[in-house]
Amino acid sequence: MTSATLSRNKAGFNLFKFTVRKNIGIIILATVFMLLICPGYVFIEMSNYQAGSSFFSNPYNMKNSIIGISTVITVVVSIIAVFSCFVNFSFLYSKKSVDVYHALPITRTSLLFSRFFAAVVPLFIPIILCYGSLIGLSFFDNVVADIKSILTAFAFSAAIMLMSAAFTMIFIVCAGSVFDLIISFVGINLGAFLSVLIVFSLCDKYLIGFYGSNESFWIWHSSPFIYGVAAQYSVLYKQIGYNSLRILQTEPIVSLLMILAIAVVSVVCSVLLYNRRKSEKSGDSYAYKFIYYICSILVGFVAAYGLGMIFSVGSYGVVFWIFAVLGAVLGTVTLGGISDKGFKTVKKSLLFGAVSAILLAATVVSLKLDITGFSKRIPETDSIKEATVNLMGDEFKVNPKKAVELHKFFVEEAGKDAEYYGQYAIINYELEGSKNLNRIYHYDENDVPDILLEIYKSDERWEELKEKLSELNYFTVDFYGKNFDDREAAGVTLSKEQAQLLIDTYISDVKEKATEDILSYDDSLSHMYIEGRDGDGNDYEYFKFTIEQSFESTLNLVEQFLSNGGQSTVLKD
Amino acid sequence: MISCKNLTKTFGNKKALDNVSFDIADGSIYGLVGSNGSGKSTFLRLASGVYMPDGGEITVDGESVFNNPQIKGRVAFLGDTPYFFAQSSINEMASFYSSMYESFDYDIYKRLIETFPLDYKAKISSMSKGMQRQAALILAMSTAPKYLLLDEAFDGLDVVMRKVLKAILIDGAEKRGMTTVIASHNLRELEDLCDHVGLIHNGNVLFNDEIENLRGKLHKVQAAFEQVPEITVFDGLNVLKTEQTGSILQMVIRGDESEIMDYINKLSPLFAECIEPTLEEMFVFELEVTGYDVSNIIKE
Repeated sequence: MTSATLSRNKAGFNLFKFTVRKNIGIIILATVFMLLICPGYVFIEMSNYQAGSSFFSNPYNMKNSIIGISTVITVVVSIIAVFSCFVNFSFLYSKKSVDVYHALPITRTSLLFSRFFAAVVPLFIPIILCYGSLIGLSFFDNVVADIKSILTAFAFSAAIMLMSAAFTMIFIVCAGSVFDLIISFVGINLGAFLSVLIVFSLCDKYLIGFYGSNESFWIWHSSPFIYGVAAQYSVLYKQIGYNSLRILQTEPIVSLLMILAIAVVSVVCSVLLYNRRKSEKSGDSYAYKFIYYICSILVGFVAAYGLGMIFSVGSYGVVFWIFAVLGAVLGTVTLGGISDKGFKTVKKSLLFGAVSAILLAATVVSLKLDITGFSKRIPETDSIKEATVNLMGDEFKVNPKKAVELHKFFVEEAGKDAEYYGQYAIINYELEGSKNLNRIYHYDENDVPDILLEIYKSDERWEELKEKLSELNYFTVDFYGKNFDDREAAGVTLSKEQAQLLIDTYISDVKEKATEDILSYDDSLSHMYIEGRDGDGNDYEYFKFTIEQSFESTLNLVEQFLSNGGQSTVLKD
Repeated sequence: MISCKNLTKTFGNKKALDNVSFDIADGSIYGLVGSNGSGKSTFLRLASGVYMPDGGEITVDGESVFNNPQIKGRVAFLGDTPYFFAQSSINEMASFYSSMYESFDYDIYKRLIETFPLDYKAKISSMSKGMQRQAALILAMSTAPKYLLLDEAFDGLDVVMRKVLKAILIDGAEKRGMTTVIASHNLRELEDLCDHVGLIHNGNVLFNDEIENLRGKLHKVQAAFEQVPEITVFDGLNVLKTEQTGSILQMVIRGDESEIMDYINKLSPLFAECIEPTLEEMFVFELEVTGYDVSNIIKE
């Protein structure tokens, strides 16, 4: 290392130390504020539990509440980190201060790192104190805790805070004034999120087979901030054993690395942009116009859809498009007016408005024409690891060949009637390479396809169900419908053997007597809901069964259970 | 040496500096003169590494300044409006600069705080504009720069402080070989301070020379004649400007003083004298020759 490098590093470190000293106020406030959340709020919550004033009289279950606590910690510390970056780089927006900072004998890269680390590194103190206090509280009597979950939550909170600050740096470097920084930061992040929702709303409307569960993936990935919180949430749910509540299925270490990768990429982008940033842009709206262009198009896109929907009352006709164009232009011209503090660049704003409206129209056209072949995509049978079908909320495994057969039927026949929203069937494929493919199709309840009934009655469907039931011990059954001796609803608790008897009887009825009515909303249908729990009572499964009037054996058995006193009486074998 | 070659800086559609080339010699006190918006401050910001050139290059000691900490460590730039960290005192700012500039010299700082009567522990934000400028000068000088770049250095300073500042700059040049570049729109401020001067207008350097050279070249001659001779009589001299008031002729002539006076005395004037023109007059003469409308360029 040359003496010059040593000197540069020293100047950078000195600037870091100086900035940290200047940030002492923010650090103390952040620490106090976060300690009020944890352990402050957690301590009060624990006291309530132990005093028996809460709904649960169990010991305080920190294992479950760690998700809520850590999410609040992450969100709060990330907001503080973003604010801290705003404050530490506010010198970029004044010609006076930028003269001083950019004349200092330090490279731009060192300057950025010194200020960035001075903004975020001290925030590890409140994070460590918060999670350290949680670890301390977990040793209290009557507290059920999981140190691994706390440490995992700590790692995620710290990484997400770092990522939030790093991602914000891109906006900071690109903006020319504090006002435009806030506009672009909020505009792009919120705009991206809303645009994803809009696109999925359009997919839902125009893309045959589009299934809403596809939305969540993109929604959670629409912004690094949202992704970070969703990842933490999912990882912690996985750790405490509630897999079904996970938003993202990514492995914890992959999520963590992803968050850190976003942080690194954001910092690298910020450094590259900062090194080419023109000092004279301080005080202008933007140092890099591209950020304004992106913001403008997103605002125009959201405004177009919003105004179109408001004035067309939810329909996509001519009125929608007239107001969509108006909305796009109003959105971009207003943003341009705010950024320019006037309407000098109104022509450019109009152009962005037109681009936004065209983008919206292009989205609709491409969805209607299915240019990606989304609606017609049917996987090869060989590539399917597992296939499930969900019929009106009743999900079960099916033979991949049958699933493909059903899929082809919908694509070739029912798909043509995409406007019809009646009964639905969701086909879900788990493909080779950990890929998934989901499609939803609607069918006419007065003309239920034969293949659906065939799948409904198939052996695979019932074998899987019986297998699941065999792992459970305690059963609660609720009945709804007119079949139950004119009672609208009734409930009973069953033993394992009784539940198995009931299911066997029901399956026998389905195979012998079920008609296409079972896949419709026929008023004559009754429903049976079985909730089964395992030995610990922690894990449970929930099943729904539709009962036709012709299912005499099932109905007789149910009547027999109910006549013995419902929930309070359990039949002896 | 500060050297720029084909230096260009553009703000939007406006060229603040347009293909400018000139050098500033080490140890000189260089006055950069021009009206508001002429490109003076832009040049200083380029020389201090604040701005990135859009074309050409500017070097200090042979190296590019932009993003070059080694070179920037030798340069102190004081903009037209000083900036200090919020709530900071002069002592705190000195502590900051000492941590950033290896060359920061506390001996110079101590000498300067004895010279300038300021409260060094008080918040700078509570000080007057003139005091803030003094504080900024003290801090800039304390970094013991090889190159000191001052933008409108005398703004807000009273007469006494202006003299003190001039003395400090001259002292810096003499004792440490410090090069000072002062951008100003006021020529008179620079007259008794600078040894080099450049005139910048609309992004172009119109003029760049040593003041001594200028003084040696240009002369203002007043002569009275019984009968004023024809102007053509003076064709043997390099007359830049002639004004006649009755029997008195006022001429601005380029050339050697003794040769000029010999030439005029041969015409038997009743009275003839050679007066040294002011810096402003020299600029006016030089620029009028090149066809510039001086009234638009040099304004007080």
